Amino acid sequence: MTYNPMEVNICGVSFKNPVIAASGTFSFGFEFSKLYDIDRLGGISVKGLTRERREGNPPPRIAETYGGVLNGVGLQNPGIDVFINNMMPFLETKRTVVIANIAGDTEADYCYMAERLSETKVSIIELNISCPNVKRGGLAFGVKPEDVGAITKAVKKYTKKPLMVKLSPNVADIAENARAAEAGGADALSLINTVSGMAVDAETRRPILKNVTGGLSGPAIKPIALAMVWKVYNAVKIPIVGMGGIMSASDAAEFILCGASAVQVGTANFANPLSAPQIADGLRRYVDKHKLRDISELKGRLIVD
Amino acid sequence: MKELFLNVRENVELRKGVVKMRLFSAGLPEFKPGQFINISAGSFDGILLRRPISVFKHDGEAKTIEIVFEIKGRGTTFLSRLKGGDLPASLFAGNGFTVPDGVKSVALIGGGLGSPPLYSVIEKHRAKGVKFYTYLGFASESKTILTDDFAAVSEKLTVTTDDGSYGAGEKGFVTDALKRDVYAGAVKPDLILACGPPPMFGALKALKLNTPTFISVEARMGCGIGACYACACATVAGNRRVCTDGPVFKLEEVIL
Repeated sequence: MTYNPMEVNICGVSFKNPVIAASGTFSFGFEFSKLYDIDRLGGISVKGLTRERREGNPPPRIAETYGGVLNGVGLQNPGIDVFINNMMPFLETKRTVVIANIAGDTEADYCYMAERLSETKVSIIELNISCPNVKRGGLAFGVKPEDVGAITKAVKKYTKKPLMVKLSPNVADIAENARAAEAGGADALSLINTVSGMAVDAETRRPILKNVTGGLSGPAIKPIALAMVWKVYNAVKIPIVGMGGIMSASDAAEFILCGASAVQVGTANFANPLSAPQIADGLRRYVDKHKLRDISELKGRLIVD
Repeated sequence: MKELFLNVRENVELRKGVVKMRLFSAGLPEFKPGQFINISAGSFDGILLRRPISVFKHDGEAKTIEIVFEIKGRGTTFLSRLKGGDLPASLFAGNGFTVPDGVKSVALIGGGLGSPPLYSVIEKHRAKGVKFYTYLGFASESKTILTDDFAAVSEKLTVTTDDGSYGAGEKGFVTDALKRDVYAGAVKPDLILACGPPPMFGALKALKLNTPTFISVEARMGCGIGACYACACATVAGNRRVCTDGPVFKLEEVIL
């Protein structure tokens, strides 16, 4: 087999490159597969799943801000059963890592979904305890370090699949929450989810999102995300998947330098639907240009004088 | 759907704040009336999202399309100022309007900036002998657009303005004019296709005409290809995606 300098290994799962489509921006891969071969991606984190089908929030659900996108979709999804029965057969024909992102109203929901996913070919379960757009659950489990530790520990009992805990930036100290997830048995961490935000129309005097507040993503939050990845990298030993406003290969390299083993690309998929594979190709050129043995050689190699 | 570059050929101001843009691509894919393009509005001035804009005219031989849009914010301002160059876009998106075989007479109902995509329906089906009775409604004379274009291809064009300021038209709502003509038997549509603001759809629904009616709805979009679930439209079957399940829905299925 030929040597692949772009391959990364995260908690025992091999990715052909470190670029993963971020949850909530890629649905289940079907739409983007009409535009390009999604096997070019290291992995896909699917749309956040709930136990039952969820309708999401009333529209408008999206607003453009300066260098950012504010969303309040509210986890509209077909539910875990439809995912397993109708979406997985398509994803199983692909040679890209499938990460199932799950969000529950209760601890029991998370455990149930983790158990159900254990029977599937999903490679990693991403625990979404950081969605700012739902009333119950979601972020409620992700704010206090003790809650983060408890939900991680509880879900771990229900699955042998690697568990990746997705952290919220809307917390007192993200490093504390990262350590709590690690202590609870998390195999990896992904960060950051969206930053709580708001957009207002001065003419109508109304918030643009029906939900009033939403989650901010895109290049506007990249500096926040980089600082948090660096902070968490220095606090835990488990691998980190970094995200927050990655638009280019050099953005991705910045996250890897700050300690990420891989990255997720989200909002960039909206600006340019071809951006995720283009970022993967660009990272390959970065490796060649900087004469690296492999992409992992870059991990955490930020030079701080 | 294809991802390609569209070359800006022409930008004309139809009236203050409304622009008609002609775009070219040698690789223009198959088009169905009522579909839209999701076009980049550049990456300056903090712009990230593409702009979903419906197609007014489609010329398969010249490989050009024309879009009509209102200058509303940073993105449309950017687009309105372009004199040339290439812009990335995904096209053609959405389900579009269907005119089934056997349909002989269609009533088209356009409200303001919702009117342009209806033209592409006439363009496609007129040659087959389908007759189009077009009703366009605007707030006032100063807001009217494309009336000459529609007059040239419609069996009959009726223009209404809320304040009656358009001399060649009528005062009132577009749905009132449709109601009068249908009740009088002057127009007997087999199909009604509409595009405009939600209150117009509400008025159309209230007419309770026993004619299959399809509407094209508007929504703020994220990806424009069905992946992000931002552009929800409430229907009797739950929230549907305007970009891929729509933008055309059966009137009775949409919860207004």
